Amino acid sequence: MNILKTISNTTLITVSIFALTLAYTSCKKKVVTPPNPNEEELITTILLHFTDSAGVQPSVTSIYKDVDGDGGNNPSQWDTIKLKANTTYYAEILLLDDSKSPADTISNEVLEEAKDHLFCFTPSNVNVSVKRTDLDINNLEIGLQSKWYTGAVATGTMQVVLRHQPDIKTGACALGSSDVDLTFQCKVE
Amino acid sequence: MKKLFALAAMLTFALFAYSQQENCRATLHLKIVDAASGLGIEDVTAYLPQQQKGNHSNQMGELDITELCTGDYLLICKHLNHEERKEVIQIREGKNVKTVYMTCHTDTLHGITIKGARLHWEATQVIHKIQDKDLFVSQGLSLGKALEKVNGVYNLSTGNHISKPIIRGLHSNRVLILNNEIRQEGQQWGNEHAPEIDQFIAKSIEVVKGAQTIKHGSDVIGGVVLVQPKPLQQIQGIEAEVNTGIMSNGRASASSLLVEGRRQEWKGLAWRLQGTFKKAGNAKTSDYFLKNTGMQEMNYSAAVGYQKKGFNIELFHSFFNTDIAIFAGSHIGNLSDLYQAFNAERPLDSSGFTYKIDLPYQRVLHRLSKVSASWQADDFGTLKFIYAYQNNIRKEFDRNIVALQPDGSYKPSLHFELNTQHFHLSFEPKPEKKMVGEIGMDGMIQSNEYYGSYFIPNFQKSTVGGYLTEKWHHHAFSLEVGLRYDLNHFEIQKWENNQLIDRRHQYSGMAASAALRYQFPFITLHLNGGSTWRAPFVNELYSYGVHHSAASFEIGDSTVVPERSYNASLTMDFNYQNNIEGEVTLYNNYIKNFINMTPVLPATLTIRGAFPTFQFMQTDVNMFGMEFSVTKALYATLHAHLKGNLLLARDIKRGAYLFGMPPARFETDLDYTLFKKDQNNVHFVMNASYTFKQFLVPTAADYVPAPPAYFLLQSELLADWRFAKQTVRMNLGVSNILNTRYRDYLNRNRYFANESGRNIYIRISIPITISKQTKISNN
Repeated sequence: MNILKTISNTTLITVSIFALTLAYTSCKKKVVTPPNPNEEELITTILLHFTDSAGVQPSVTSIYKDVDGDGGNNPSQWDTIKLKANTTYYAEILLLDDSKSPADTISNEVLEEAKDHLFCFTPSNVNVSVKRTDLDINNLEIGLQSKWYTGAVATGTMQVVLRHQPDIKTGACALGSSDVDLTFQCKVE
Repeated sequence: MKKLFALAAMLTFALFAYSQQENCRATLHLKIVDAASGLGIEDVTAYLPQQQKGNHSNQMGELDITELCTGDYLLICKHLNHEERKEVIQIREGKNVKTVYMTCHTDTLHGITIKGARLHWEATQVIHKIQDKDLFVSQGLSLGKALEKVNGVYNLSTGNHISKPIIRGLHSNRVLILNNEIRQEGQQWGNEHAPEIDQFIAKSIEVVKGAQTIKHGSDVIGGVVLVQPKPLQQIQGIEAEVNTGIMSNGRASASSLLVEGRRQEWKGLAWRLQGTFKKAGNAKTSDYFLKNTGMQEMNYSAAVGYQKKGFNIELFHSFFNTDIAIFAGSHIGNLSDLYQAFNAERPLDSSGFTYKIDLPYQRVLHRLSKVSASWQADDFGTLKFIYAYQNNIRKEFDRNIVALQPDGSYKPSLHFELNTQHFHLSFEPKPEKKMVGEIGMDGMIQSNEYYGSYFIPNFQKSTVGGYLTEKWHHHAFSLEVGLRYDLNHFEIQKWENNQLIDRRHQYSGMAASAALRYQFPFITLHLNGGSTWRAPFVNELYSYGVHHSAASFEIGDSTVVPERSYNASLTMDFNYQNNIEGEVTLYNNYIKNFINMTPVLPATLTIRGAFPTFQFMQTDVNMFGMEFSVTKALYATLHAHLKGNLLLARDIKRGAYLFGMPPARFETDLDYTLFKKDQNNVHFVMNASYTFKQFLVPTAADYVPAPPAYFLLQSELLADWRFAKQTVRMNLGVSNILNTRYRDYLNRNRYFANESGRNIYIRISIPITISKQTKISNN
């Protein structure tokens, strides 16, 4: 039983040394406040602004807004795009970070990096065709500004996608990854 | 030989009275082992001519020599068909235990070269070791890839350079990696966070599958990987070693330089310096280059140790720094991007070759400083203390519009800093008769801070654990039992609805293990059983966010409870006349409250589109598996090796097979000795492996079906050659000879691209003796 005695003696020494070291180091513990995700830059809002090229129909603004970013609460606003039939609209897209005050305009950054970005529009069951009207330094379309041609009355959807195509932009939508991908309800009245 | 012993015995008797007066009551317990087979050798004559004492080994290769005087003495071991072995050993008071390895006479050698990692005889547990040639031929590969040599161990990867081992289907927080005795603490919860270890430091890598031993921690549900450098005490003279290798695929290179020494005037002082540089460019599949798949790594380490009598102190510092490019095609915005990438015949975003590391990429820095001291007293035992500090900084850069800074640079999207301190204290009492034991404590203090986006919270963690192991052996039978208690406490800070919250968690539990070994002639049986537990990690409790490479939205659950594993395994290993050797293992691991990511509805809606939502949930799983490996000497110069394994991992609650488990794999190789003379030898090795399709997983459990089965061929030349009194080791080979197009189920990139194609590689290892020194006895 010599062994047990030795073990118990050593255990005692071990435990006390340990307790001392732990006590010493735990005193120095500092707690750092993590960065508030609300202060991080986010794309919270997309704003589509339409003006009739003929100046007859009233202007339309459709908004998607999710201030708390990914997950959490559902989007607080997600408008249906309501356009008049047989009209040509000038469309302008604004991307905002509404979690900040004042809101940060992310679309300015898209414009700065226009050669790496492309908006793509895919209508479904509605008679709307979209033509991008702005160009980047390589003479490729961007899509922050566009012309929307509406046809007959119909109800369907319009998918708005912002593709991020670093150094690989060719004008095709398939390349790259999506920074924005939203399917709006769309009504041509 | 017997006559010699008789003479020795007579003289012993004559000197008996004399010995009694002096301090001559020490005993020497020897275990004589065949270096090739690891089996004990019967009928070895071992004697100490200066003391005129000796004995014969029993069936187990064991023998005792009693009534020895203390001091340094010559020990001679002789056997009929083994080479004579002479060495100077130090006899201390009390019981001295020593293992002597004897090699077969070359003329009677009909033994077999054992391919791959093989069983290590000493332990009650089943331990697989990768060392020497096996370690050499894996130089430049990732740790996960190198460990694939061990049957039942797979490689969980994200592209070519991020990989980690999966042991019997378990990985990350369930596999404990000990780097130079220290628990590797990086952000190991992430599948795409590889262990920050420079493999060139290792002299051997050991794998203990399953919870066979709980000495290193209770969270060893999957197993333990021990990366061990060469002990400083073994350094003789001043030596250097240059290791370098190049690979055609990715035009990669990996080189390491090591210098170590000990001075004659300062016998107790030994030191080592080591540095590694690795670089690779874009990898190529059989048809195309993979854009942005390069890497660069630079590491160094320094060690110094001092030894005097029973006292030993060592300082160790290592620095690891890597930049790993993330395959451009794998960084996707949302689920429709993933489908688009998967359905494309080849990645839409293609490229040629470049070394440039572009966005997205990971930059990881890991520092380890360690001080260890041990004190061995003759009539007391060995006391050991370790303190270690680890600092891990992980930055993941994305080319993301919100990460763009006004100056045009990108700030890291994810940025963590993890600081860890370890304390270890253990005591191994002097072996008593047939008992060996160890008692010890481990403590850890850890803090995590994040600076980029939220994925896991800040936390401060402290753990403390104590363990006791006892080993007992009697002839062919040995038994080892272990008991461990751990207490785990942490606090987290995170923001919720614009409010900073602080929460505490505390978990504690017991773990126990038992291992039995019985050695029959030719066959050894190992039976292991035990129960252990693992506390949920912070990511399982609090992760929240989009996981870009996985196109998923991951949500932790702060209410999960610890998981507990009940495991048993039976291994039979056999060696018949060194002509056929092998092992067969059956194991079962039942894990209660297994924490697993499970898909939940609805999908999470974001401005970037919808993401499938995954939540950490608990279930009960049962993992049953079989592993086997056989080596047979077909001719004296031709050896065949076959191995395979199978795992059935079932979610008992849901009645389905688990997602992400390794598919069955069979592998065979032929080793032909082309040339062998003195210390020069050349081997030709041909390896073929067949990996099945993971057909157990229901198709609905994944975005895309599991990739089909694949067959790979590899062949290589391996040579040891003496140049200027140094044995230079060389390796020239081709992997994926057929340039097979395939995707691996355990590579995250299987959604986006094929695996690498054919690869031609050359490795060379040159030892250089700078100054020689007479051997120092350290026993």
